[in-house]
Parts: sequence; structure tokens; C-alpha cells
Amino acid sequence: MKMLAKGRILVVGGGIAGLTAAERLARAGAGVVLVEKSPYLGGRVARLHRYYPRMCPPRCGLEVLINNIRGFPHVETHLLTEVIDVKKASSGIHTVTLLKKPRRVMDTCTACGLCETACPAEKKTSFCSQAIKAIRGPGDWAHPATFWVDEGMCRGRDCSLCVQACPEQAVDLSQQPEETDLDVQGIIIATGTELYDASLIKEYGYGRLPGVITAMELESFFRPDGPAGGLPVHPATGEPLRRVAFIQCAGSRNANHLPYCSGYCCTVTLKQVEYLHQSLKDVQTWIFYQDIRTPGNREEYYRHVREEYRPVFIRGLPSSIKYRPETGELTVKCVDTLSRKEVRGRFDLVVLATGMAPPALPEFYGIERDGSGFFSGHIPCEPTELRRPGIWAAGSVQSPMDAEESVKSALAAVAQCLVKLRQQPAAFPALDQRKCDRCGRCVKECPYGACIPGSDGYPAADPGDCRGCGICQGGCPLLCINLPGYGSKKIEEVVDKVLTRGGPEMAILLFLCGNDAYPAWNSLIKQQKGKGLEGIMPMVVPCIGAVNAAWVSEALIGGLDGVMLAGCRPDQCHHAAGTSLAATRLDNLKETLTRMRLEPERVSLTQVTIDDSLKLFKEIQNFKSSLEKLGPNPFK
Amino acid sequence: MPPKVDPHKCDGCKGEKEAICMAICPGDLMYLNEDTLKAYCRSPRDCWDCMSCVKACPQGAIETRLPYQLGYYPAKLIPLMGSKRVSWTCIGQDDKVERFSYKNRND
Amino acid sequence: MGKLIPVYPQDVEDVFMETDLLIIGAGNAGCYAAIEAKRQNPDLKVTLMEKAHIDRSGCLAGGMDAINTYIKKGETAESLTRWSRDQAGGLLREDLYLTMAEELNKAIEDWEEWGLPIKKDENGEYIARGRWDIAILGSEMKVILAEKVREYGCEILNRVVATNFLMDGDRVAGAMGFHLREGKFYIIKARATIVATGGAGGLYKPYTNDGNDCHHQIWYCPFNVGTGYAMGIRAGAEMTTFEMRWCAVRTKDFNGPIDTISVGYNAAMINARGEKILAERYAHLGGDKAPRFIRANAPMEEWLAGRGPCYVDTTHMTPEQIKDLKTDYLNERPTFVLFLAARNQDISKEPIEIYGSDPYIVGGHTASGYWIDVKRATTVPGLFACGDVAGGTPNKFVGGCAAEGVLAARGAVEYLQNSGAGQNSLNKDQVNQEKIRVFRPFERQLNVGDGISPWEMEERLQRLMDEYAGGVHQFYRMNRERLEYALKNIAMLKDQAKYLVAKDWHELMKCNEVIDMLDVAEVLVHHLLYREETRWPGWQNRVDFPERNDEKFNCFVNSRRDPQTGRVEMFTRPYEKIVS
Ligand SMILES: Cc1cc2nc3c(=O)[nH]c(=O)nc-3n(C[C@H](O)[C@H](O)[C@H](O)COP(=O)(O)OP(=O)(O)OC[C@H]3O[C@@H](n4cnc5c(N)ncnc54)[C@H](O)[C@@H]3O)c2cc1C
Ligand SMILES: Cc1cc2nc3c(=O)[nH]c(=O)nc-3n(C[C@H](O)[C@H](O)[C@H](O)COP(=O)(O)OP(=O)(O)OC[C@H]3O[C@@H](n4cnc5c(N)ncnc54)[C@H](O)[C@@H]3O)c2cc1C
Ligand code: SF4
Ligand code: SF4
Repeated sequence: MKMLAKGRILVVGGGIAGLTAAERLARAGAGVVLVEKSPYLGGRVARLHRYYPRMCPPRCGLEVLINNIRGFPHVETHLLTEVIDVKKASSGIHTVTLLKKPRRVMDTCTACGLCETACPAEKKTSFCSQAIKAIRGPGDWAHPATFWVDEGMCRGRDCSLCVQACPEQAVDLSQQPEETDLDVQGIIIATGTELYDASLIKEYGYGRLPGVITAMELESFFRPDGPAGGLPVHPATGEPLRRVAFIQCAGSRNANHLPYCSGYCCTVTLKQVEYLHQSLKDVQTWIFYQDIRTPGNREEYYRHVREEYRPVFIRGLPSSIKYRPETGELTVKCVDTLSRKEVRGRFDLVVLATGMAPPALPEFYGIERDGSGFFSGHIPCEPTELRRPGIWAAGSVQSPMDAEESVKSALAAVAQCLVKLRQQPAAFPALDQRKCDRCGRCVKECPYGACIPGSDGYPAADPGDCRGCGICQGGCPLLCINLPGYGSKKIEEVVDKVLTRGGPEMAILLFLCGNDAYPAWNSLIKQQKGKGLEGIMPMVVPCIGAVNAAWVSEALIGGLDGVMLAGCRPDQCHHAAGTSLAATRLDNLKETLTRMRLEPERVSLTQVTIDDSLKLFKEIQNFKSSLEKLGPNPFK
Repeated sequence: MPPKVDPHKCDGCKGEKEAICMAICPGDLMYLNEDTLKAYCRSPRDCWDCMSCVKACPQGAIETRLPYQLGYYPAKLIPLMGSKRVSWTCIGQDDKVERFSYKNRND
Repeated sequence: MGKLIPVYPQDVEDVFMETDLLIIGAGNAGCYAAIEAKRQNPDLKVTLMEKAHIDRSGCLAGGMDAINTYIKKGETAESLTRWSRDQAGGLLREDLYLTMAEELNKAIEDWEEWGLPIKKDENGEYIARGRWDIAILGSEMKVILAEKVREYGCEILNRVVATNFLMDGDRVAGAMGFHLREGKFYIIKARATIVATGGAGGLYKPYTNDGNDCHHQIWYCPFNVGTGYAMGIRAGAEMTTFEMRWCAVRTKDFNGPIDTISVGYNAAMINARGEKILAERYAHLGGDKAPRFIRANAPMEEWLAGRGPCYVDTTHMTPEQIKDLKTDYLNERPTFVLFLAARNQDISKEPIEIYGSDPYIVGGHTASGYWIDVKRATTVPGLFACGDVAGGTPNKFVGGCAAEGVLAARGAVEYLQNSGAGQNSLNKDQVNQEKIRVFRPFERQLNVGDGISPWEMEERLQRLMDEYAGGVHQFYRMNRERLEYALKNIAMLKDQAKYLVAKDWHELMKCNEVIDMLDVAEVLVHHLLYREETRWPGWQNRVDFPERNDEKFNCFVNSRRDPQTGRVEMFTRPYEKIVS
């Protein structure tokens, strides 16, 4: 099955970010295919009791989104579905392969629960959760409000007790997985991420010591589908909770675990402290922390919780937790770094505030990651866009973030996506087929994979993906790619001008990256009023990677004294590979110059940021004075 | 007179289907080593020293070497191609440098 | 991409193609032919089959510094023809030469318009270098030409090595060959075919052949080995004047051209005693203007007479002239500049040593090659020839080969119009036989794994030709007995070609090249045997017939190998004087 791809966007993940993206895109008229791996929409937010900052129940927000989405004829939603492959098709189109697992329960399900009662396959997942069955429902609010069969637990058609139990004949155990191919113009990845596995923090005994739970589990205590049906009682004893400890940075900001701060856990803990105090009069809460990180308006909330509920704050992370089976108590040992004294506390529940782990994303998205394993697109200019054009990331798959930030990033992704759908064709590089040998270097070097060989082998810029950086032009060994307005001719004109002018004056060709270096240069001219810039012939390029080494050679062998390239810092390059490619090309050239007994100092690559006009000036002065020392170019 | 490939500069033309030097040699002499993906001259004795490969290599990785049978002293001849211009640098005994630069294409 | 491994002929994939006009060899003449065919009729499908890469294949790979023939103000096609006749010892096809001369200037001016820089004086006139030469900055001239061929929409098949013509009865119906990169066999059916594979280098042992690294230190393009001649010989095409070999005065050891120096900068040839050889010893033959074969032979005669080594005297040259001279070399044989540096030679103080080259069969310089008519049709219907592969027109050089490409295209297009639209039929048997022939060195490698390497056989042939068929080490001298010895041994080598082995596709090309060289060498020796006179002492020196014999040999010596029997038949064709 292949549907019309134009204007259709695939949204992967039905959490708050994915739902927001799908809903806004649909509102803007784009066709949307929403794909969710689990049987229900809503993601992690749907499993919270309430969510800050306004302490709304998850229904608030999510339900509006889901209802709207259901109302749009141009949105398709696939649950229990995963993307198993993404291939780049032609001109800005991706072909994606979806694998849909069977729900085995049909829409006629009324969620009466008779099947669940009949089901013999039962499992308890943790000490504080209720046992679950192979066929089960959402428990609390969820969409869709139908049951599903957990393939991993179901005993199969030989059992079929649920089929018999269902008064609506809504269970069909014969449903099989389906694979579908689909062409889309863009992909928004909003698959969220997993929380850090608390059992890896050995000293806290999660999974080993009853009473040690995660913050996520604590959320469920307050929900009707929680361990005690929404009562904040100890799951083992059924007694109301008396002493609860929260351990912050559980596995975060720690070189052995997650090296970074996830940013939301402190506020979540404060929120949960509030839950506890609001529903239990006599509860005591302790918070073990390193720093309480509640930036912005969260600080106000922190003060509110501190003053209203007076939890005990211990600055220090516990070194051990001991469990006494006789009393069911947990003893937490910790050095308070403020008083330098050892503190011990006894609790009936210890809550680990774990952070978000980097997402496990399939290769085919071609996501680039930063040192901590999170998305590293061109932040901040294109905060959601992946290097692969037409793919954006939204929500906590990008980096640890709370619901509010997830929504913001989803809106940003939608904005970028819509711009792409609507954008006017940019200036694309033109290929001179008379010269092109179809060698394929441009195909390899294009940072966006936008240079694609056609069936005749000649590369062409995909108008959907090309961002006009000109890196292909810079690398072409045969000089047959020209970005409109750029190209060899301009350089030849400058060289000819210098040659006809003659004379001993110093002549320097200065290539300026249009993103940062050129604005910096403009400020520089204003500041300097031309002073100290004599002999400089500036030439703007869309990216410093668009400068072909042959241009630099043309200038040098045409008698110019030096050639300077001013680009962005490699990690700030607007086109990812531009500066580093320019550096490699210049290094190669410098080696040749050295062999030619021509000073490699005659070419230089400098990195400037947009506000660095002073640095640019200094670099130019240094370059000039080093050229003065070298004397005129022997090719003059 | 065989071309010598600098393995640090040669990038195997990024694993293109046919490297530039390989494509251009009129004698079909330049090949890529399958393991290292670096170019080499498969039969130095058959080279005509037309220097096509040297001029065409986008990395400037190739240098022509004169066999000892022909010349006694190490010397170098290095072309550098611009877009409409070519230059030659010849370095002889005692680092004597001769330079040439001229237009090799009209518009 | 690595080397392709041997396969059995039956396992090689066939690629069938059809075209209107097939041009074999995308060199200078082939490219001009392609462009002209498209200019004549843009709807024609024009396909070029090129063993190397069109951008830098053949003679022009390294570039050129001069175009040796351009009709300047005050000269005419007739005056050029007259000059060429003198240079060629009175023998040339004047009909061919005149028609070529009429196209000459246009072809050269086109090249300039496409981007080739030609040196000009203040008045915008081409700078003359002698009577007919003009100076160019031609290092990129082939690239420029190739771009034009692409612009005209011709189909270019790079790295397809032609091995034989496809025959439909007695007509040429295209060609066959193998693709060096794809490892496939190409069968290209064409309504008309032009052969433009250049001349034959490497038949003789060069004196620069110092084994390891300078086996190909020869003047002519070593990758043109005469396959075009060989294909014609095997198809029964008539060949002419192979015995008029091109042996030139070249720079000693480097084997580089010296016209650049002697013509361009008036540097005289001198012997070891400092005497101006031509002025002092050849005044009766025109001194500096003596015919080429005399000039070619002069330094060798000095050596023989004990007055060697010889030089071209550059010691009078100004620093500017020397710089210009070196620039000229950089545009044609760049490493000569490197060579001088490696000898630490300052040519303003030390003259450049010269010597004779190994002999070549080059129709652009002498008259050897296909026997053609003014339309450039060969004696085999459907086949046209131009450039170094075509005979009868000595002293064509760069411009003349280009002009002849234009003429061959016109001839072929006219033929296409006259012969109707019909495509030739395909002879499957012939294709299968050709595959077995071409891939035999693979078969041997796969079945036996050992045999004669193409390099070994090439060296054997080169030595044989050098010693017995008048090579440079024999000062170009030969006699009947030696030539007969050569023939006998060539027959033995031909018989042993079945032992050739190839370990990859490049070696397969080398094997087929050697087989082609054997066919060309055989016909060449027949020609040398047949002309029982010495007409061009530097090029063809029969010690047993040292005099020129106008009575018997003021005619063309032609040959045809019978495709059935393999016997080489020799005969003559009259010389016709058109220009007074
Ligand atoms: C204990 C706890 C309490 C929190 N409390 C708050 C709070 O009070 N306020 C707040 O703002 N934030 C809170 N957060 C953070 C909040 O849950 C997240 O910021 C939010 O869920 C991120 O939304 P998302 O859409 O990016 O990801 P998720 O909510 O994780 O949604 C991702 C969705 O994608 C689906 N998916 C995953 N992989 C695939 C796949 N391969 N194919 C298809 N679908 C896939 C998942 O099933 C899921 O439905 C809390 C987090 C925790 C852990
Ligand atoms: C070193 C040198 C210097 C010269 N200097 C001058 C000069 O200064 N001035 C001047 O006027 N003339 C000069 N000439 C002569 C002139 O260059 C040639 O006569 C002319 O260019 C030949 O043109 P062509 O098309 O016949 O051959 P080429 O241009 O050599 O073309 C032959 C083509 O056929 C291809 N080919 C060969 N075999 C096969 C096969 N089996 N299958 C497919 N393709 C094949 C070759 O790869 C090549 O591309 C010089 C020649 C040389 C070698
Ligand atoms: S052209 Fe240069 S970079 Fe490319 S493979 Fe050859 S030597 Fe290496
Ligand atoms: S110099 Fe010319 S012949 Fe030699 S390897 Fe390079 S391209 Fe081939």
C-alpha cells in the first residue's frame, strides 16, 4: 500500500509531544500518520497522577488533543505499531515501513473486564504493583478505552478462555502482524525515552529491598489503578505511609550512571511531597539531595512546598539503605554535607528520583548524538531538526525534559516541518553535465544526503532536502557544480583584476561564511571604516565548506599574496561538516604548497562567531603581518 | 615515471565507484588498494608520465617521481591547478625553484 | 573498486547496443568526428568507444604546446600540400591532403572558441612558430574537447577496449570490445563506423627502455598500440605505406619532442664538435629546411661517423626564452622539465642532447595507415578512418587529425543517408568466436594458471623488431635477410599467443594489445621488405637497396591480409600529382 506522500507527515510516538505535533499539523491541514508502540495513547503523562506546573490530571490536555485528532479525517492512528525501516526515496520523500502488532481485541470492546477475570495468565511485575493478566485494560482513563492482549503473556488459542468470556465477541486471537510501506514527506520522532534503570544503583537496593520504589511507581499510588486502588498506603502492610524518603539524583550527575541532570526530578519530588501531605496528615517526608534544581518559576513552587509541608532536607546522598524484615523498615545512612554529621533515618518507603536515559533509537533515523547520548542537531538555530533533512525530534527523545518543554519542542518541530512543506524552492546548485564525471564525491560529502545520483548517474540536489550550503561545490574535483551567484568565475575575475592592476600592493582574498563571518565582517567595516582592511577582497559564500580548493589555488597561482577563509567553529557550523571539510581541503593544499616551497601560511582558516568582529580584525591583521614577513607571492 | 601516492592525503576518493585518478589514467594504471582504499600505480614501468593523475587528484595526493635510470638527482615537479590556470613548480638541485603560472583555459 | 578477476568467455556477460554512428577511439580525431556528425544531424545517435577516459586519452593526454599545421596569411592549402610533399619525400595523397587542408583552420579556430588558449601577438594574430606552427597553451585541450563532445549529446563509453569489427558479410557493422571496469563484453551494432584509434607505439624497443620504471619512456602515446590497424588488417582492409615509419630526433634519454626547441626557438642541431649539422652537412638538401626524414637521420649519422653525441644548441637563449621553452614542455611533456632538473642541467649553459627515437607507425606524421578515399572511407564498406590511424596524409598533426575527423564524419553521415536506414544484422557466430579469442588469456589462467605474460611477449617483439626490422639500436638499418628473420619469428610469436595469461582485466587488455602489435608488426615487415629502395633514409633504410628508385617506387606500397587465409598480399597504387 502506498499513499500519496506529498504533505503527509509521520509522527512516531503518541506521548504528549507526539500528540501535540500530530494535532497541530492536522489543524494546519497536513496529513498525519500517528504511530504508537504501546496499546494506548498518552505516553508517560497519561500514567501520572497529576502533572506540574498546574497540577492538572493527565486527562486535562491529553483528552483535548486526542479528541481533536480523532475528529480529523486526514489523521491515521496506528497503535501497537512500530517503524522498522526508513529509506530515503526521491525528492524529500521517505519510504517508511510500519509493523503493526495485533491488538486481538476489537473496537466493540466495552471494557467490562470479564475477559480479564477469566484469563489464567497472571504476573506480578514489582512488589508495589498489582498482578497483571495477559488480557487487560488500561485501569484508569486511557485512549482507546478497550482491552488488549499482551502477546508475551498470552497462552494462545489453545486457551481462548477470554474469547469465551467476552459477551461482545470482541476478542480475536487469530489476528496477525502486518507490515505496511508508506511514503511521507517528513517524520517527527517523539518516542520519548526510558527512565534510568534504578536497579543499576546497587547501594539503593531497588528490586531487592521491598519499600524501595521509583518516583514513577509512586505516581501510581495515587491512581485508581495503583497498588492500593488509589490509597496512599504501604503496599505490603496496607498501613498509611508514615515516613517517606526521597533520594534525588538517583543515578544522575554521576559518572558511573547518567553524567547529567535531567532537570525535572526535583520538581517531581516536590510535587509528590505535596501529594503525600495533602492526603496523609501525619506523614513525614525527607529529601536527600545534592542541589535542589528548580529553575525559573519552579523556585516559587519549591518555596511553597518547603514552607507549607516542611519536609526534612538533607544535603547529601545516602551511602546505603538497610532493610529490617522484622519491622519492614528501611534505614537510610547518609553524611549531611552541611553539618558534616552522619544522619540515619528510618522509613517505610524510599522513593528514587531517577532521571531520563538516552533513547535507544534505530540507526535508520540517522540521529546524531552528543556526548551524553542525546540528540545534537543544530541547537539553537534549528533546535529540532536532524541532520537528515525532513526528520525532526520532539519531546523527551531530544533530551530530558518535562511535559511543558516537550510540548514546546513539539510546537517547534511542527513549525519547522510546516516551513519545509511550504517553503519556496531555494537556490539549488547547478550541475554542468559537460564536465561531471559522476564520481560521487558530492554525494558522499553533502551533509544532508541531499545530493543523489539519478538513474543516469548524474547527481542532482534534491529540492526537498538541499539547504544551499554549497558543500558539494566546494568538494567537486572537476568544478562542475555551481551554486547560483557563486562559482569559479567570480574568483577568476578577482584574480584578473589583481593581475591587471599589477603593482606590489598586498592582495588578499577573504572568503566569508554567510552565516557568522559575513555579518561580523560587516560590523568590522563599519567600525574600522576600511582602516587596516586595505587589500582585502571579501567574497561571501553560503558556508565556508562551499570554497573549492581550486579557487584558493587559482588565487595563489594568479599572484594573490594570501587567501583567508573565515568560517564558523566546527561545532557551530550551520551545515555541520562545512568547517571541517574546509580544514581538510586546506590541509591538503598546505602540504602541496610546502612541497612547492610556497609558504603554507599563505592560506589560513579562521573561526569567528557573529559577534567576533574584533577577533576577525585581529586575525586579518595577524595574517597581513605574517604575509608581510613572507614577502610577495612568488607567482606575482 | 611512476606516480607516488601520499597515503595520508589520498582519501580513495571517498570510496566512489571509480576514483578520479583511476578514471583518468590513459593507461589504466591507477588502482585502489582494496584493503586500504588508497590509490597506487599498478605498473610503474608502463606510466607515460602524462601527469593526468597528478593534475586530476582532488586531494593533491600524487607526485610524479623520476626514475633514477633517467635522472641522477632528486627533483620535483608539482602542478597546482586553479580553475582556469595552472602552475608548475620545479625544484632541482640545491633547492633551485622555478615557477610557472599561466591560463590554460579561455572562458 | 579493485581489480576484476578472470572468467571463462562463456561466463562474461554480453551487452548489446545499437547506434547510428560508432566511433572507435575518442581521441583528437574521434572527438571531432563525433561533434561534426552531431552538427550534420543532431538526431543521429553517435557513440564513442574509448579504451581510456575521453578527458585525457591518447596523444593529447598530457597536452600539446603547438599545432604544427595552420594556414597563415599568405599561405594556401596548395602551398601547405607542396610543403608536406617535400617533407614526405614526394609521396602523399594530394587529394586527401588538399581536402584536409581546407578544413584545417576552421577546426583549430573551433578549439580556440571552446576554450583552448592560442598564443597571440599584439595584433591578435596567432604567434607563428616557424612557417606552419602556432603556439598554444594546450595542457587542457583534451578536457576542453571532451566537454564539447558531451555538450553535443554523444554517448561516451569509457574504458571499453575495442578488439575487432563486427562484420555483416563484407561490411563493417560495428565493433566488439570489453569493458575494463564492468567486466562485460560489448557488442555494438552500428550503421556506420569510424576508426580513430591513433597510431602504434611500442612496436620497437626504445633505447630508454631501462627495465623497471621507464619502459614507457617513449615519444608516442604508449597506450595507442595500433589496435585500429590490427582490426582493419584482420578485416581485410587495405593498408598503405607502413614502411614509412616515424623515427624522430628526440631529446636523448627522455625521448621528448624537439620541434619545440628547434622550430620554436631556432636552436640548431650541433654535433660533438659544435658544427651545425644541417647547415654544414645537409645544405644541398635544404639545410635547416631539409625534409623531416633527413633531419631525423642527421644526428644518428653523426653518431655513426664518430661525431656524436649531438645536441640542439640552447646556449644562445635568453632567460625569457628558456622560461617560454619550459612552459611549452609543461604543456606537452611536462616531465621534461623535471628531467632537466634531475640532471641539474642549465640549458642556457649546456645544450640539450638529442638522439633518434624508436620507430612508430603514425599516420598523422607519415603516410602509414588505412587506404582511404576523399570521404575517408576505407576499402571495407561501412568503415571510415581518420587521424593517426588513417594513411596517405603525412604531416597532419593535431589540426590535420581534427580536420580529418570532421571529414570522416561527413563521409559517414553521407553514407548513412545513401545506404538507407537499415541496421546491420548480427552474426552470432562471430561474436562467440571473438569472445573465445579475446578471453583466451583468462582461460589459460583459469585452466593452467601459468604462461607468458604480455610484458614478456611485448619485450620479445620489441627486441626482435629493433634488431631485425631496423630499430634505433640498429640506426634504423635493415636488409632482406634480417626482415625475413623477423617475419619468421613474428610467426612464431603469433603461434605462441595462445600461451598468454592474464590475471585480471587490465592484463587481459595488455594481452590483446600484444596480439594486435604482432599483427601490425607482421604487415609492417612485409611493407619494409617490399619497398626495395631507400626513400626516407631516417625512416626506412634498406642497406641492401641504399638508393632511391623513383622508376619503380614513386608509388604507394599497399597491403591486404586475406581474412580467410591470413596471407598478406602486397601491391602498389600510383601516386597522383594534383598540386603543381
Ligand atoms: C515520575 C515522573 C513524574 C513526572 N511528572 C511530571 C510533571 O508533573 N510535569 C511534567 O511536566 N512532566 C513530568 N514528567 C515528565 C513527563 O512525563 C515527560 O516530560 C513527558 O512524558 C514527555 O513526553 P514525550 O511525549 O516526549 O514522551 P513520552 O511521554 O515518553 O511518550 C512517548 C511515547 O512514544 C511511544 N513510543 C516509544 N517508542 C516508540 C516506538 N519505537 N514507536 C512508536 N511509539 C513509541 C511510547 O509508548 C510513548 O507513548 C514526569 C516524569 C516522571 C518520570
Ligand atoms: C608527445 C606528442 C607530441 C606531439 N606534439 C604535437 C605538436 O606539438 N603539434 C602537433 O600538431 N601534433 C603533435 N603531435 C601529434 C598529434 O598529437 C597526433 O597526431 C594527433 O593528436 C592524433 O590524433 P588521433 O585522434 O589520431 O589519436 P589520439 O588522439 O591518440 O586518439 C586515439 C584514441 O583511440 C583510443 N584507442 C586506442 N585503441 C583503442 C581501442 N582498442 N579501443 C578503444 N579506443 C582505443 C585511445 O585511447 C585514444 O583516445 C604529438 C604527438 C605526441 C604523441
Ligand atoms: S584521485 Fe587522489 S584521492 Fe582520489 S584515489 Fe586517486 S590519489 Fe586518492
Ligand atoms: S602519469 Fe599518466 S600514465 Fe602515469 S599513472 Fe598518471 S595518468 Fe597514468
